[in-house]
Amino acid sequence: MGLAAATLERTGIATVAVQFGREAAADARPPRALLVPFRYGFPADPANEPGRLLAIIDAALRMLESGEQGSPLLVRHGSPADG
Amino acid sequence: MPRLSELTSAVRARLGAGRTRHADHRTPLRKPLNECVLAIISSSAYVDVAPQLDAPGVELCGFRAVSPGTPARRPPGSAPTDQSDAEAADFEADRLGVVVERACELTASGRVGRLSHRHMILYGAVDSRRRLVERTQLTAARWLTQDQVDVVLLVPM
Repeated sequence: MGLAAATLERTGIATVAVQFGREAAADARPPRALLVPFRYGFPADPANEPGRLLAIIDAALRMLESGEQGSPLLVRHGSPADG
Repeated sequence: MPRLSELTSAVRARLGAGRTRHADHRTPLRKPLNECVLAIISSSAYVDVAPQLDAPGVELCGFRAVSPGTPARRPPGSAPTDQSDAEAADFEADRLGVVVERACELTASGRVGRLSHRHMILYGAVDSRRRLVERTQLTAARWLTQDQVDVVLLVPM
């Protein structure tokens, strides 16, 4: 996913990834990633809470709006930087 | 005609560039989010969720085949029969379709401009890195550009 994001960024498309844990993010190195403390495959664990998933997607999109720099830009969901 | 050493250097540079530092380039938003077109890319293996979406016109494009052993989708509306089935149902419910549905809510509220008609499943782990970089991802980028997508949300599954 990190590689895919980088390819899209180079073609002029802004990207943000939901990422499961900092170690995975360090390996994948997506240009922007919101770190979530859930199991792989469950970006809003538990699955049947649409409100939480909506909040996570919204938080990821806020990273795009922040315009912050850094390499890579990683924000942990629920941290002050996540808003 | 290029010499062999030149070709070797070019290949090494290309592979090296792909292996590291790919997080260094970031494209900023060029307009407010409520004017942007959003697409979603997932590594979800399910491609049959589109009919379940309350989002006419949404299309899911899979670049790779469903992985062997992937359980069949439960009939819509049927209840889980045991714990493992319930876990599978939870897992399934968290697939790309659910993410697209939430994104639809963001467009309905005006937070995001518009949802792209096309979303993608990029199951890259089964592919060779070179093929992924040189063909699959470039195809995805071309499609997204054609669809005038401004923002991509990537959700590994």
